[in-house]
Amino acid sequence: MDSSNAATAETQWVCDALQRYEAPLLRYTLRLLNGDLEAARDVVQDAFVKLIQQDRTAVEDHLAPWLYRVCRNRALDRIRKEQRMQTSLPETQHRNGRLTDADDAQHHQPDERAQQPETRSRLLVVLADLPERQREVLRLKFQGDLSYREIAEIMDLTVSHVGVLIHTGIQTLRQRMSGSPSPKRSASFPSA
Amino acid sequence: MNDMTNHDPRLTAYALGELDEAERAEFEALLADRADWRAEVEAIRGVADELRDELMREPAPALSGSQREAIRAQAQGQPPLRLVGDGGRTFRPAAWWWRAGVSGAAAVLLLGVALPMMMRGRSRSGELAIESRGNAPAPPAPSSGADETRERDLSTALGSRLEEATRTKDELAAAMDQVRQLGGGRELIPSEISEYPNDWPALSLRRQFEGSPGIATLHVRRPASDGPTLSPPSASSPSRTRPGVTGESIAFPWATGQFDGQDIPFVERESLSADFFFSPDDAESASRDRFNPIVENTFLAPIDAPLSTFSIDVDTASYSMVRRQLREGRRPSPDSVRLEEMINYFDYDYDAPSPGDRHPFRANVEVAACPWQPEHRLVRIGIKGMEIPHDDRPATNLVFLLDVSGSMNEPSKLPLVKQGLMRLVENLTVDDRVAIVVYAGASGLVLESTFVSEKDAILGALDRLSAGGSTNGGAGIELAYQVAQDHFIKDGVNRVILATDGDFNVGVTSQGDLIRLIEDKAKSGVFLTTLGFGMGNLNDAMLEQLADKGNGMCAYIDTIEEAQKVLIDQMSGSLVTIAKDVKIQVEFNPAVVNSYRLLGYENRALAAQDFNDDTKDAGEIGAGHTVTALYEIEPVAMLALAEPGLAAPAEPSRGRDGRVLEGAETVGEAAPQEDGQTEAAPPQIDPLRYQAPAVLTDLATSSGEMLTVKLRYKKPDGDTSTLVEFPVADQGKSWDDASGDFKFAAAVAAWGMILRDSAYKGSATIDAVMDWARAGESTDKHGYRDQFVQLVSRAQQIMDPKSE
Repeated sequence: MDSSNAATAETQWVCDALQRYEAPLLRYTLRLLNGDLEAARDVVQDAFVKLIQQDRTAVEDHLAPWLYRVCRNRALDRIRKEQRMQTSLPETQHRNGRLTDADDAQHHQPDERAQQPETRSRLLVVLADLPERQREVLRLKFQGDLSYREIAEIMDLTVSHVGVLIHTGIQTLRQRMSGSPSPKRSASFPSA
Repeated sequence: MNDMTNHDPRLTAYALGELDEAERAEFEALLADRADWRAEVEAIRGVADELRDELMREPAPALSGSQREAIRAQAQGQPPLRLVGDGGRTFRPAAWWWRAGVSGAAAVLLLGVALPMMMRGRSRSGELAIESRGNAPAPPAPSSGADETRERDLSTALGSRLEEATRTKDELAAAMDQVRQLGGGRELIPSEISEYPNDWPALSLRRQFEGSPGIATLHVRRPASDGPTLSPPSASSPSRTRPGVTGESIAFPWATGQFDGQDIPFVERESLSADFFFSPDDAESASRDRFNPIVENTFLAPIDAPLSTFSIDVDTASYSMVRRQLREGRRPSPDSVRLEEMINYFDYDYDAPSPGDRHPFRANVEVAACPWQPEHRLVRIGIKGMEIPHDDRPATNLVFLLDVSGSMNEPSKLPLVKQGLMRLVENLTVDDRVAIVVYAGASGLVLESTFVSEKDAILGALDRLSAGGSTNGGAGIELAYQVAQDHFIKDGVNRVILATDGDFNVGVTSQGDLIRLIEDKAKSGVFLTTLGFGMGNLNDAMLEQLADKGNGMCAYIDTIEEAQKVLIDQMSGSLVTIAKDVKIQVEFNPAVVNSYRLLGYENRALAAQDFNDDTKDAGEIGAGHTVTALYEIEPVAMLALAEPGLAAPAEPSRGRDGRVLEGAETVGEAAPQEDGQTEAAPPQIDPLRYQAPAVLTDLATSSGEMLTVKLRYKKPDGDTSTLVEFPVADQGKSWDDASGDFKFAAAVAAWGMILRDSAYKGSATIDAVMDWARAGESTDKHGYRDQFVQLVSRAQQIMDPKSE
């Protein structure tokens, strides 16, 4: 009944995955959960526990997207549950930061950005302003080092949709970083 | 930028190497003719590389050591076992369990039944206990004696497998059949599943997966003779560490040991930031609610520290935040409980100054028995600001400074801001004016200062606001103050109302810079109100400090009712400042007071010499506002003061007048101590070698006064302060005779101490708090006190009553 070699191999496989993906998964999940480290840790731990229960051959060839996807689903689940408990207002609005692209088109005056002293992480500042989905794909792409196809699997999108999101995200970053005022955004406030 | 060239997503896909071979060949053919596209590809690569570098530089968080261990331990599973109804997938139970055979299987199934139940959220407990009693045959005795009561962490994978295994009725039925066969037809009934209340159910929100795989650690104990028993972990499992506070927040009682009337108990200004920030800019949004730690005041002896000096505080945010946390089913973070703000949330029926009075407020002191420490006296200093009838309110120039960043896009944030401010506008008069400045990625003037006669324009502008972008608080504040100054009304109300979740992450980024900016702007004569919204990344510490430095007040708004209270019911108080830089200094008479403790106001403490220093900023008081401060006093020589014939030490629940105090039923038991000393009394120190004990003045011994209250304040537009001073003697009031206001304030304070788990809570219990509060409910104009009692009873459900 026992086969210690198999057990070791089994262990090694999971431990390797843990070693490699622990930090990236936490970074990603922490984002989704608005910086709640404890919650993110729980989600990531859950993902690995779930991984242990998987048939290795079934997940191994898409391990990274599998893990990201599990984390994503659990994190979103958690957010939904949390929201359901917040009964202070009857409105059914989307959660924190889950903006529509239309919302995001507003409130921008890149030239003001240019006056800010910090140039070091200005890119991240501008990144923070992108619509949530664009932020997410950009992070998955450049922080998670995942391919379009993997991102598509994680976020339940088509590959071409991922391509459009990343493209749009990068173009917006470029525009805002270069500081050239965009005619679209000059009338940025609702009163205008 | 040529808009025509850069719309093709293939540009980016190509630049990032995401095109497949055929696509790439095709695209490269196109590129050959398009120099502009080639440049575009280069530019995209540039941004991509930069972004990659930036993102990779973000600190990487890690699992906790125990979590990593748990995963490793589970990965090193025992030989796989096929589980009934499990579709052929495997799980690895602990080896001994496997040996335990029949009964083990029974317990396994029960677990399978119980876990899904918990997952439905019906239970907030993270644990369950399963015992199988009765005549079930004992499992085969384990070979080793060490197995007697072997305790095992049940592989959490097991829980998950079981949950899935029993997901369908059929599977469950099949499984139960198996058990019945194996267990000799014995049926396991639900009553055998008992749940242990979680001693920390406050975690429900964040921890509702407590029972889910990977989090719950179920300890399985198998006594040799009694079948398998699943029992909860004895004290705490790693999964049940207290969340709710970012970072550690412990009161350091010794930190105030140096307090000698000159040194001020130091309250950490640095906000409790977690260690997982992504970057300096994103940091603000990445952390959760931030509360500055509170170092509770200790008992001080008047011989060493004759003066107690602090700034008044009319903020109320703490109570609303506590309420919000409780309504969410969480135990409030101790550092969110600021006693003075809890107490000051409520209105008290103190006498207001009459129109002809010299000072714009009146002080009212009451001394009676301390309900949670019956040998002690409780001193209530109440200040009531001049009331200004709604119609007499001076012309008002308001600038709404609204955070419309992405984080405000929640029902409890921007929509509530709009609703609240719309109500406020509805209640303004036509001579008042309102401007709206918003800030997000950039800041802008949404509405020029507009007379309320054009109410529709204001309401429309509010209505159209939507959230998006990151937060540049600094530029917004600059602009808002500029607009307020442009339309400054002399002798009127000039105020910026800042509504935010406190998530400042762009622009003037450092807290210090923002504070300095506000301090500077406050000199312009424009006052500030900060309204905190939402929960999740509320920067409470920042908001309170901004209000503090900006000559203003801070409130936390979690519901439209709260907006109604702050913005409409108490509009005059919230808008019209009647005195600024109000400081209180109390001198205690060592002949009467052995030691004293100020309840709350920890972050409002001032050095004794700051009292007379008009350059030192302090709190503001609005029209009709009440400010309450409580001191707990350990009197000197209680025996001598007690009425003759009553043996005071044996009857600690008697007041100085000898009558039994109300509330003695609840407080009496815990109190008796042999020598009448209390644990909270300061430690005795050796006599000084080089100094004689202080010499008391004649007044100390002859006046019978307990203390003298000194107040300093400035007129709203003044620069020099006025002093008000009055001595107070203890009339020996019992708790019974105390006013309703006194009782209610004491109840709120006691509850705050319970929530903080303060060392000074004495015999206070939640039950007692409810009694005391009900005794003080008589004056309850707006129903807030009734709400308080409701809230306390809610807290009782959330906090394990046994732990109190």
